[in-house]
Amino acid sequence: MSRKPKSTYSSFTTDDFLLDDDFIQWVQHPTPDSDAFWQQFLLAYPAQRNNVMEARLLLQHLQFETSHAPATVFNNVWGRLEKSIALPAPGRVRRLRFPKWAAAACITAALVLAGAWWYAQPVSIRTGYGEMKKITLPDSSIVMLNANSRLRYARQWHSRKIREVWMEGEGYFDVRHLRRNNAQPQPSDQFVVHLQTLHIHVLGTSFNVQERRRQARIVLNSGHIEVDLNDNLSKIALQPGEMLQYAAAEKKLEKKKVTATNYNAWTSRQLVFNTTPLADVIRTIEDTYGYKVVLQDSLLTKRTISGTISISSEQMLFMALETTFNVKITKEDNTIFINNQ
Amino acid sequence: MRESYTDDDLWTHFLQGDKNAYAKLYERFFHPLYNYACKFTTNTALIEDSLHDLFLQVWKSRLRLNAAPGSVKNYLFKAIRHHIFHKLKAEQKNTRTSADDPVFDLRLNRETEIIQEEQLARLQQQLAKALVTLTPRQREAIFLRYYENFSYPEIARMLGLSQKATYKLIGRAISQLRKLSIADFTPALITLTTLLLGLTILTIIPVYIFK
Repeated sequence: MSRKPKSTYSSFTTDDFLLDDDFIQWVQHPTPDSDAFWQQFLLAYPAQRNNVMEARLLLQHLQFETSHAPATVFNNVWGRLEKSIALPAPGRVRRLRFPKWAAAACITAALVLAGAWWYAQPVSIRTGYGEMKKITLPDSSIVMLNANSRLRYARQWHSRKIREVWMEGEGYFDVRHLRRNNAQPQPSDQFVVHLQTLHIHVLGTSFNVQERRRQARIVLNSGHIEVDLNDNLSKIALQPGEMLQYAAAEKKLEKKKVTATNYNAWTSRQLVFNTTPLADVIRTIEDTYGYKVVLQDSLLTKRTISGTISISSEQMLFMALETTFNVKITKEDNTIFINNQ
Repeated sequence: MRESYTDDDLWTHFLQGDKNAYAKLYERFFHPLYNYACKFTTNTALIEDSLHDLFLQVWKSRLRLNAAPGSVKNYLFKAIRHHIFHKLKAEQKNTRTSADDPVFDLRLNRETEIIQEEQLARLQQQLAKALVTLTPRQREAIFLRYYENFSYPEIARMLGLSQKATYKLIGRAISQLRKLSIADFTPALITLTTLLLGLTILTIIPVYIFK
């Protein structure tokens, strides 16, 4: 079954067909799907009949002589391998002293075990308040980890096993697609992000995930993801430009269209607001910088802002907030006081 | 009864020291590797030694190997090629023969004369002759692509070429085979013969399924 549209093949020469992966696959290992595809192709582009038939004919005749190894050769080689790989036979005389080779073997074994233990330990990366880290995963996927967050994953990743990470806080994921464009994705190609309240399944996509205080927010930039809410119901699919919000305690689920890039602007040290109330901004400050925020005028919570502000430093953030919200910000130890101008 | 493992599964288990997985890998790949080796030389002792050295090396270096380096099959084929070339070079030094380009003896299977149709028999002959006009490298590339079904990047890795060069190599080879064999078939005849082949294959497939 070809992933390329039929029109691609409409101008193929015989040689083009002979070199095409999907065409070769069809001639050598036909399936009902691929048969249907190529029959439909020939109906749509009858002028290509000749080239297709020529290529088929040649491929069908490209059958080669095979040399089969005699059983004796198969067995001899294996016999030699067994001898080379087996441990030496034990000595005739038993000495009380610990022989050197046994000591070396023990040390090697211990080192190998230590190494194996080390490799079995998961990798755990934390960011402190106001810190951001870029992490490259074993499959070359990239995660930008926001402040006050944690990412955990197995040190070694094996192909044919799904890729998994565990995250707390916020991260922007750029997941590498494992397959070539034509090939059928396998279940083991999946990349799964585990949060406390849900799990995200992807193949190869870019998305922003945030889970704070058991409230999850996922924004998809490109590709396709499926979210598993751990409730034994079917997964929820997201399209690019969609945001999913899930409050586990109330089991409240909301999906809406957003400008995806607004939600990963933090990776470029910016924050984008769109009629965002001050209350939300305060939550971001608390989660990202670890401050306790005190509003000295309760009416302030209703103020909203729209626009982009730079957060390359705390000072920049507070200055920008002062200007846009028209407030006065004072810092005392670990507490931020926000008051009217 | 053991379920069927993928190459990568076996490889992963083998890396952890699983001797059964190692044995299964040997079982699975010995014959294809032997078949490939036979194309380079008729010296069965050399082939046997190469296979032994390859599997021994694989066992010995398992603590340093990655889980599934690309594809297990690609890794093993590339490695046996290296072992064979290495031994062939050593042999040439001993016998003082001129260092020819290594051969690749690829022949058509004479047994697949499904239809004793005269035209098809002629096609077989033309194709067999055409195969001889290719360079050894071209024949090897054809074998790797159309028989072992390696991808272009995998073949490139094995032959030490760029992907582009590999594509060109195979492109020219298959084009030449085509020009020297089916180019003089008439369109009607092609359709007829392909249809006949198709029908015959349809009857043969059920036989294989029930074997």
